[in-house]
Amino acid sequence: MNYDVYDAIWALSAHLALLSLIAIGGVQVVLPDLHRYIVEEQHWMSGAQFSALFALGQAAPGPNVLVVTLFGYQIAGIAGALAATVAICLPSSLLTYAVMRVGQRWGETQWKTIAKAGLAPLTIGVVIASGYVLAQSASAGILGYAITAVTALIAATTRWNPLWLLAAAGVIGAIAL
Amino acid sequence: MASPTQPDRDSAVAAADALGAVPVAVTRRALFIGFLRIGLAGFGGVLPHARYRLVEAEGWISDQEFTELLSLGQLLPGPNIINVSIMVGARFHGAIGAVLAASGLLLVPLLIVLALGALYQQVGASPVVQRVFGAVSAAASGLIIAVGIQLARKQSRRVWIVAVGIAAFCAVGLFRLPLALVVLVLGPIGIVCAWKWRA
Repeated sequence: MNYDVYDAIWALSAHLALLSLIAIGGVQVVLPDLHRYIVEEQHWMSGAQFSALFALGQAAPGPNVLVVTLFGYQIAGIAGALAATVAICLPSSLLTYAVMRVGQRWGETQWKTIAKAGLAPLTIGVVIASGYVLAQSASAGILGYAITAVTALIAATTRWNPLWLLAAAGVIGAIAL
Repeated sequence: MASPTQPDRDSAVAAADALGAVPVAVTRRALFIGFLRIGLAGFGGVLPHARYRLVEAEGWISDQEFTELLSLGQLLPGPNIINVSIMVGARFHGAIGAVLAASGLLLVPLLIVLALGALYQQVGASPVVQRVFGAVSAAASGLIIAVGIQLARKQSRRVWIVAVGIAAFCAVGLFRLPLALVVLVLGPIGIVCAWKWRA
């Protein structure tokens, strides 16, 4: 490693904590920003590693937010993994708890409906952008893009278990890449 | 495990009840273990497991409440299922309940993920592994795009919706702008548009 691990933990955690508060729609939306920060700015890992860890996070059981744990681990070991997990979860969790205490309305209020409708296109655009950024980052050439396109098509139109798609891709990668 | 009778209630009444008298008695231990089991449930996405555990197996909330919590969790920033855990946990045992629920959910997956991370570091440099991961990453990216497509299909084709969506894609995917900037600009724009022209 050519960087100071403790500096990295602090920097990564600070960035994740800020992202936590704007990650509307879930953790997927922060992936392009994280890619820009981790790969392009800080050079803590390559794009291929970033995408690989992302794929690992998708395949692993549990909430997808744990992809952040994988980034933290790769960058700074167990301390990095735990710090990153806390950083992405805590600020938004505090906000959620506060909103719950203050608002205490579970029902559909007009503002909630409007906010949901207003933020939906933003979320969708960012989610698709995330897929696009990750596909590029995977650095798997033309075949990689083909795999991305075919997987997107199959996943969008069928109900096949995604894990089979990932497994099939893995086999293709071993043989043909 | 008996499912408690959940009378259909007006949401406002339910909200007033939220931290007060609840018809279900859930111990802190049961709360933690319940969420632990969601985390243990394995592959297939957390949400279906969470729904099964909270609504059917434990009967802590109704199906409608789950849907509402989920939509609120998606609207609020942060990991969706964590937000849901916070809200369910807080309902029964306040701040401690929220901590128990979230940590119960994350505990086992966290350990598994750490093991996977360590494994990746061991074998990640091998050329075969790199080829496999290159392809798997490409496929996983496709899965994300598919999620976006499925969400997009449900949107009505209003001009502002398409415009904001395309702008968000370009800003993040093509121009690689910081997410904060994109959200702080397009978020209010989207909300104002929804207020004026909601489908």
